[in-house]
Amino acid sequence: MTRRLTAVLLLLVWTGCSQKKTLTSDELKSQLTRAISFASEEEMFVDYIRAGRATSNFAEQHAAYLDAEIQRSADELAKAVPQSGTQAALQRCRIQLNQLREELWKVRMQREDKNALSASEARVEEIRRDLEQAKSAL
Amino acid sequence: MKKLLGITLGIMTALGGFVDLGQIVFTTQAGALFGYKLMWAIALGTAAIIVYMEMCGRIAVVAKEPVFAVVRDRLGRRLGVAVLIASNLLNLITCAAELGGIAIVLRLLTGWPERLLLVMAALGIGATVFVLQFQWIERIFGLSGLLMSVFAVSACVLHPKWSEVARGLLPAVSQVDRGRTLLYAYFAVGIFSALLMEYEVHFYSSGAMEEDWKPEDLSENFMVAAFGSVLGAVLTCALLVLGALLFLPRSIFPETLSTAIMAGAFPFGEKALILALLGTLACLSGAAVETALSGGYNVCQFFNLRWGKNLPPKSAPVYTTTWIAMLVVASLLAVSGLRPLQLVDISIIFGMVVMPLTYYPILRVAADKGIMGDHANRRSVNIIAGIFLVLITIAAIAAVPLMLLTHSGQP
Repeated sequence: MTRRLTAVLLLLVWTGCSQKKTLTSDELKSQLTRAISFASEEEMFVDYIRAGRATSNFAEQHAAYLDAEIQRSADELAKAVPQSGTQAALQRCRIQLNQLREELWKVRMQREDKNALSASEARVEEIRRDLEQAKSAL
Repeated sequence: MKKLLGITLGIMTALGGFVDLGQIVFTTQAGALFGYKLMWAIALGTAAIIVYMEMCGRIAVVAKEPVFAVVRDRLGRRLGVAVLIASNLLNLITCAAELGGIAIVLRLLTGWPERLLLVMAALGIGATVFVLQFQWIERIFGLSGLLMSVFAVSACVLHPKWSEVARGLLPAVSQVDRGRTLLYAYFAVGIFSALLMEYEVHFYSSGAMEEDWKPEDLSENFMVAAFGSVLGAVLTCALLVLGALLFLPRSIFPETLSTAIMAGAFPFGEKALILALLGTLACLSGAAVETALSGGYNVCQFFNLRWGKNLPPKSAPVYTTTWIAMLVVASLLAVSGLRPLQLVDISIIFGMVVMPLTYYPILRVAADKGIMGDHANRRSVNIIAGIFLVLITIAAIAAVPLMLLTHSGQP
């Protein structure tokens, strides 16, 4: 009995520590929902900066917090193994999250340049649409 | 003027409890997911905390007993010790989360490194509390918390449909699927719990004794409890409205404190954003002070030791050491890299689990004619408080399963 219990515990610890996790279709949908939320928030934030409503410290630091959240999500997806039939959507989500981070970096660098911000906003909108498509295709 | 300033106890207690880090993000998320549909949870939680805060103030004045002496006498020493440990652990976790939140706000204001700001904030709060008398602590943190009003103004300026807001005062349980229903229940329990955090009643009853309220002050007790709580509720409603108006249509699920603050000043310019940041800073600081001091009050009241912010530190050494230790350990927890919002999720849900054991003894004593004499609860108050206690118990039972089933409220 004790041996069996130990074996079960070891198995649980092993699976818990395992880096790769199989992502079910529902979990991927949830990750895509999260990515869409990040994209929408980034659009709203860029618009907020463009309208001159954010202090420079706020713009810089909020971008950093948003980036950290996107990175956390991207890290989770990097470790995930897709269920059959969801590889393409997972890959699309990973790519778009990285694109979102890239755009956020550009926004931080060019927050005084309204034209650059408009261009960024348009690109983020495209990313969001792509993520929405990926989600609806699942 | 003194009586008017007495209201600041209610304001600081309620703002520190209602508009702390957890509530700011949690309520905005609830609005982003369910629009105004959880307005009823705010109304219910506000009514419950007013009823119990008033009872605590009354017990403190009439029976000269603070909350933790009541807990010890009614629950017995063994269960009482368990409640003491649980309450102070929750105070510690909440204090750490608030300090983490303060560092985030300071970083948004200054751009300086977060850990440095956290240490500076903890030292600043510690020094302020050490130097000031209780009345000045409540005035400074209570009144500066009023800067949060900018959130309410923003919510009004964005023109919510008031008929829909009012409709949210009635619970709507018909959700599309099981997952969404569970999420709705999780947020309802979370909002209700966050409004009733134990440290509010610990702080309020201790504050009434610190201010040396007399039976003739009892008429103001209800006003102080109600005014502060209603103000806190208005700001909480504003957060829900902002979530519903700004985030729900855009499918945004706000996951950072800075997102919620941005919403608080969204229709306005930089000055409003700075006001929103300062208001948030004041509320989080108030919550950090409340939880640290509550730690000291709880220990001393339970073991019948001298306590009081207005006593010289040498006359109340355990009290002084405990609140300072709370602040130091909470700072270490926050500096260790634990995310403030994770900490606050834990404190809200596990706070709910301990809640019946805090509120049940209060109701028992307030209803006891032998102790309270003519000031014992009237029958109607007993019935209302009893209904709230049943709701608190149901929420306490449901809290942990809901947290597990919804992965801490992830949509």
